[in-house]
Amino acid sequence: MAADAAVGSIGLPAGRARFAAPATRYVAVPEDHRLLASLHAARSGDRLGFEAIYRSLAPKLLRYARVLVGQDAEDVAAEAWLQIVRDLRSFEGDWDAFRGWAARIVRNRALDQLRAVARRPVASAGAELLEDVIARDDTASAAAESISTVAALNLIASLPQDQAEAVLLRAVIGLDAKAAAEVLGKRAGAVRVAAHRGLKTLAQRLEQRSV
Amino acid sequence: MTRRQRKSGAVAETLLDGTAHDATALASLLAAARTAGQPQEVAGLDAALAAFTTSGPLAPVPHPTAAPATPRTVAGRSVFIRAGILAGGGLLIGGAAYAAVGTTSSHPDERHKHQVVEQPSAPAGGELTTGATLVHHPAGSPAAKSTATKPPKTTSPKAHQPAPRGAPTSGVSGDRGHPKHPEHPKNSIRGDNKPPD
Repeated sequence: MAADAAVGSIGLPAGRARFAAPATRYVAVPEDHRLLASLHAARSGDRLGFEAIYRSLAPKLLRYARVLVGQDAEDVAAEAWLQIVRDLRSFEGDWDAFRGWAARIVRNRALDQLRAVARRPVASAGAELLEDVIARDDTASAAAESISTVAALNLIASLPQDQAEAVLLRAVIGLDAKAAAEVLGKRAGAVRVAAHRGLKTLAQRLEQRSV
Repeated sequence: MTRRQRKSGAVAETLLDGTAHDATALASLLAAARTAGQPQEVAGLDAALAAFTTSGPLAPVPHPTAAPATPRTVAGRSVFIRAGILAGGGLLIGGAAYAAVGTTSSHPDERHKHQVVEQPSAPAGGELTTGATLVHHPAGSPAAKSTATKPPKTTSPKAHQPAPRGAPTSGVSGDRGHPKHPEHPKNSIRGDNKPPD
């Protein structure tokens, strides 16, 4: 298979396609144009425009928050959306910039949450604890033929923090390397390297799972 | 960068962008992670819409709070600083003037000097000049009469008091000369103040 050969050429082991194929393939440009119009409408106070951008972006932001803070992801996402609504008036930019801006808000709220959890005497599920939970999980060795979105996110969350964030921002939220670097406060090259390493690690774990 | 590394980087970018048209396990994993949102993932839509209505772009802009006590403009700060400089300068000048006046009579030695110079002695028939030398005039002489009617030029209220009986006949009432140096030139007034034999 040509695709498997291509993956193997970058050091990623060629595994069988155990995951269910997505019903709709990711098509960037037409969707972005539609959402950009919705964003302009939302900035003008249109509820339908805001609903469209919420339905498109909220699941991705929630998945990003889940990788960062685990079970507190819904609270973090809710706080982030409150800030997005409050500051939407002052935002200027296109749809890509809006996604990066929203992801940065989610990340800041998640870091606040992690700091609050660290101050709290009762142990809660922070990022490190989430990694321990995922490490105990046998997701990589599961025999399921298909994998759900949650399981895929858990596998991504098992990566080191910088690699997991880089993969999430690029593959799930859809940012390019430069926009992801702005969210993470790093250089674009560092984000690109972290994402590639994360993909390589994921491929190795999938290969171990298939053996 | 080798050709293989470039190729692997390009393949990784297609995987991350979602444009890879292959059916590998990794591509399927990433596709599962970016699937469309589930209904439970947009459960907060109603709350977000409510927030959008209350505090969204069409919400009224809150008015700024009351003006702060300290001026924030450049002109206000300039006036504030000038007023402070004027107040500080006034206090400095006033303090220096007070110190100059107060120290002239605070020290006993300094007070002694002023009394010697300014206060006249009250000897009978005597006249204290500004040079602190006592010139004796015989009683009944024109000089004695003229000086007897003139009030002495002094600023000390003690100078108006008559010398007590039995007091030494020094030039100044209560003046004992220099306390530490009997041979001090200023103490020569005492000897000059003695009535002539």
